[in-house]
Amino acid sequence: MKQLRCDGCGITAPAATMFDVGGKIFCEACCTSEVESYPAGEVPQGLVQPVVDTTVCAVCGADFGSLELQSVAGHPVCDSCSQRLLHYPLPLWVKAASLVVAGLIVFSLATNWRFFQGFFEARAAIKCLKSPQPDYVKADSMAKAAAGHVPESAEVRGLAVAAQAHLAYSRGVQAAEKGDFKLAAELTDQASQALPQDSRLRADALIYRGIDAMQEDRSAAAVECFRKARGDSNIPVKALDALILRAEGGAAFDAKDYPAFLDKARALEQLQGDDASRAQVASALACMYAQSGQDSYKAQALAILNALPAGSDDPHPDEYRQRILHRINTRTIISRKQYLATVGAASRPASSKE
Amino acid sequence: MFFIIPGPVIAALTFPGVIVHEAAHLLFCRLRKVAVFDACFFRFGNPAGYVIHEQPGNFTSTLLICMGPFLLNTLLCVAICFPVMLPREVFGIHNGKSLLMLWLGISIGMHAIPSTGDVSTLWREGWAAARRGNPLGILSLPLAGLIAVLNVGRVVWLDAIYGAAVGIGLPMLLLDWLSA
Repeated sequence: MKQLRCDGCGITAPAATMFDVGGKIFCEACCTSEVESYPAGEVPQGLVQPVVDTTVCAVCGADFGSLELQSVAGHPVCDSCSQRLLHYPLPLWVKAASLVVAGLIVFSLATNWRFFQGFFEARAAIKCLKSPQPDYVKADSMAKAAAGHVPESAEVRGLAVAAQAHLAYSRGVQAAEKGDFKLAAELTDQASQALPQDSRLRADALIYRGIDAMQEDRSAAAVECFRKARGDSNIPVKALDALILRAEGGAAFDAKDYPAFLDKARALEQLQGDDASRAQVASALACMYAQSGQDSYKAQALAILNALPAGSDDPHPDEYRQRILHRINTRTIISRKQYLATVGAASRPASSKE
Repeated sequence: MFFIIPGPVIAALTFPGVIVHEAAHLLFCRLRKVAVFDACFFRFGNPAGYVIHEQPGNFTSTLLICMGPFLLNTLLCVAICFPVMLPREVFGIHNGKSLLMLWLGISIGMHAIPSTGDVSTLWREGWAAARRGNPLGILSLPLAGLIAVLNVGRVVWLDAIYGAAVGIGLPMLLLDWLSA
């Protein structure tokens, strides 16, 4: 503890009990009389300052003898008090509350993590579906994963169903491109059942089913399928009408109603005006000749056949031409299967079987 | 139309925010080696909490101590609200647990705005620093102005609006952006 001498009365006392008055050191009594010597209300501001004993801790009051203490915020403070001021402790309950909040954040993140996974998987699935080159396989797997993570979301479940339907549909289209219309019909049927509200999927499934029926010589069933699909399909109405006429012609042929077969063939020729439809008119005329024996039908059929270029639109033009000629020459009407079995020829698609 | 609820009642209803606010002041004091003489993390009164500390020796410390609650409360508000906003907003899954977390997050968020005392210190010290050519001082002045406006806006629930904007609005914006 520092000892100072009063500039007024000369006594020596602890520094902490003395005052600095305008640069002079006074004890409390001398300080009071010094201040009272000023006229009332004219004591300069800041004239009196308590003397700080830099060897006594301002916080704990401990006396460090002659040791000068460090200054914290302008006050002498011992090491332990300094540590406490500079590292003011957080109360235990605040620490505990901090831990609880941290725990809640971690718990919340952990329990909601599946939603983050589901969100990003669903996002990836939608991106795959909306891409100019859709990746239906990835979309399906991502959407399934999302539905697994967030099973309570009807929206995500719907996305999974839609992605699965799109995958089935795309596989159906691929099967159709390869000529497997049975598989195409099955897959697009699956897609249509998954998304019953999408009338185009249903229509395309019906078209593939119809083409499959035509391949299996069930033209009447094909007509029914094509008619149901009309108006809803992605296929242009004109192309679908041509399919309907072709199937109706096939149904008439199956029913041995050759005048109806000729009518449908002519309607198809009017609609399409291509070599395949003209060949079908020749086929129908050949049937009419075979049935009635009228030479005019034979002449018309041969005229059409002669006008057709070699290798016309039909994928198997020679076989078709030979069958029509066989029909004219023998006046017997047999199906393609019978023709192939008896005369023998390469296979050809059902769409121009007659 | 706005209605007035006494400050101590609001503080009591959103006490986690008061605690985090004062803890942020204290943490930044400790980080910047500024002596703290007394601290109260929550009480029923005005102010609901306080930290008494020495005047920092430099403006960086002043800025950090004043703005500490703004940083910490905002970050915690986002961290608490975001995980529960995703199932609520994207998947429509609502439950009591998520409501509790939203209350906690928004309570903390709405106490992010520094108090009038903090703003006046920031303004005074910012001016002094700006006069000395301190770029932080110059930058702090519009910030202090903005916070002063937010403080005045407490009367019209601007603090609660800020908490909701950070806790609900920000995650929704982020999710919208991610979903786009």
